[in-house]
Amino acid sequence: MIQVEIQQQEFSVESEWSNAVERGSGKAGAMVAFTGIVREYSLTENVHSMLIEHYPGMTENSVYRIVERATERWELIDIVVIHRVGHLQCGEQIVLVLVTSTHRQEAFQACEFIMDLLKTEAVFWKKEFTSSGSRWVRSVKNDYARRKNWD
Amino acid sequence: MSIDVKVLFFGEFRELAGGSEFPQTLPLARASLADLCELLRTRNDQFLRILADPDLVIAVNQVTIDGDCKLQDGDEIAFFPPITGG
Repeated sequence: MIQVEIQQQEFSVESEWSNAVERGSGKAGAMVAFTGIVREYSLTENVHSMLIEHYPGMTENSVYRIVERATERWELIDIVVIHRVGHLQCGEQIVLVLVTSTHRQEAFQACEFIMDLLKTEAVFWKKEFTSSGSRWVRSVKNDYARRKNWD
Repeated sequence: MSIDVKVLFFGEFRELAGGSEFPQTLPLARASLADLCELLRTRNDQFLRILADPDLVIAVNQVTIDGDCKLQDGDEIAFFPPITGG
């Protein structure tokens, strides 16, 4: 099963994990979850909050396509991607990628793959707010280097 | 005869444009993406700046496009900076 949610509200890793355990019961041998969190440090200044903007429709499709590519590369039982949008404070959760598979290698690799592609191909824009002002984030070179590793 | 299209801006272009949605009407005889861009450039300085951005990305009906295409009534054309991902 593939579940993609783009939402403002907070998500519960525990609930999503329990639900995935139930769905994978009898088949799953491995589950891997990743959570991205708004952190304080950016390139130069302390970030206290962030705005994540999306394009309703196009964003969901871009995330679905990333997840579909993961299912083409690895045999997976269940994938959940939840990505928040709107104003997020430091310490808040931004994204959850939760992968269920038969064996651990697929779960680990697919989770990392999805996250690396979310960073470079998912349709979002971010604005960071610091004590001295705000700036729209430009792409980070390291994200593109990591993306290339999967080619 | 004319067509009505939806023009959308996202990210810093939305801030520059002063809004996210700007419906436009195009004459049927001049209803290509290039025609729309030309029309927007003449509207105000903010649109002119956005259309001149070297990193501008354009999507028609949520599919990114390079070059020109014909537009239909009801089409959604979005202008945005490069995505920064999740």
